[in-house]
Amino acid sequence: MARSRAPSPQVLRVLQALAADPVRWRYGYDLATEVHLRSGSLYPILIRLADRDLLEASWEQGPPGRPARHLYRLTSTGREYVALLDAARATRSTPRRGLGLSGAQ
Amino acid sequence: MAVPVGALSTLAVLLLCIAGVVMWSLDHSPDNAPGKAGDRPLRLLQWAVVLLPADQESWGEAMLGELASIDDQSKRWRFCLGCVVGILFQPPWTPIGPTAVLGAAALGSLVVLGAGFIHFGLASNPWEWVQLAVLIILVVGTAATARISLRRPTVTGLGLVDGVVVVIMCVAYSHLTFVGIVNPINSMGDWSNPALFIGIPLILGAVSAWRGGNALVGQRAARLAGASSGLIMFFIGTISVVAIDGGPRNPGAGIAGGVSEAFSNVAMFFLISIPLSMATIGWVGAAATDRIRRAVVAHKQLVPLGPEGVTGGVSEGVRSRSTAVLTLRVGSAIAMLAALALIVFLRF
Repeated sequence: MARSRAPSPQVLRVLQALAADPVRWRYGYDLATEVHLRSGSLYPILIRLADRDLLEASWEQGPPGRPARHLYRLTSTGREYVALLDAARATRSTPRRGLGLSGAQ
Repeated sequence: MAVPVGALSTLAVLLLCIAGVVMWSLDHSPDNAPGKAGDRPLRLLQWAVVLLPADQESWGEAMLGELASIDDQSKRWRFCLGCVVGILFQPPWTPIGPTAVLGAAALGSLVVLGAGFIHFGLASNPWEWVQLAVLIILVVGTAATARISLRRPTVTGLGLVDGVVVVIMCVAYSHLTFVGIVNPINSMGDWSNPALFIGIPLILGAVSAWRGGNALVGQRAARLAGASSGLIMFFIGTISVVAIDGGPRNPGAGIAGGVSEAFSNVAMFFLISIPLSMATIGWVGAAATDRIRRAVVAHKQLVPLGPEGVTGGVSEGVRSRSTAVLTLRVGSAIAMLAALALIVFLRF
């Protein structure tokens, strides 16, 4: 990874939404609606993810008279990254459960 | 002689601006505009996406494509405004150096303004607060203009170099004195100084448009040059005002009044006159150059001469019209240059 800084909650929401069905291509507006982000927050996130090769984009030709739409999905690197994040989160939460800090049981 | 020359210069500047506006509007007539007429979210987003860095242009197209797929007008507005905010406030493309220098100039001038405001006792007058607010808005607005313009690699180099040239010219005109900086109108001789207000932006707009391949590059480079030079000169100007207690003032005027007036003068000159003249005259140069460049390219494509000088399948009518248009445009450009040369000749 280019940066080791932990992703923001907004970035995590986008990554998790994309990782929920990693094969499916997603429209930007639908993604923004799903993760409850404004377009002004979503697109900078998508740009950064694409710059880090975590996201791939494709164009879909629209009906005549309408411009093409951009579609997004995670790359294999992106899927690995999300898996690593999930694993790291699970590791962090395990000792807390062991110490009884999570409130569970 | 002075009055007619000044009037001629002003008239010529106005004519050049009008010519630029006409050329620009021809390029952006409704027939040529993409998308639906009167679609304000689309037009706003189309305006905003041109501010994206060159390597992110496809993201602008993605936003426009997404906007076109939304039918509900209120959702279109929300999506459009969100994208515009995202574009305006994303980090700049440029290396940190120019951004830091211009940011320091803006911040420094605000600090000096505030210090002068307190030190010279301007706070007791409510109208001085209004003036301070206006000056702060001008500084922040100019800094924001420069920051947005810094995102384009094709624009940044030429725009900043020209900004430096303008700063050097302004400092040279002041004869390296604080008084010269605080009274730019006196030190430069006239508001219609042809080299600073016409020559430099015209050349910058023309060169940038030619190198960048379209008028927008020239327009943006000129805007960056005006904003960057204005910010730096205003910073120098505020320091000069404080250093000489406002400089020469009207008989009977106190130090506070002189300082207040001097702050206004340097703001008017460096934050309004220079950026505006750079932007508008640079725009004229860029638009004119782009028209000529495209006419030349179209002319070459219409009259492809083979090894034997045979024309390639173009009707005579189209070719003669193209030649006439090209001649007209070149003639207009020569007339503009002649007008400029006349102004410079009369001026000196």
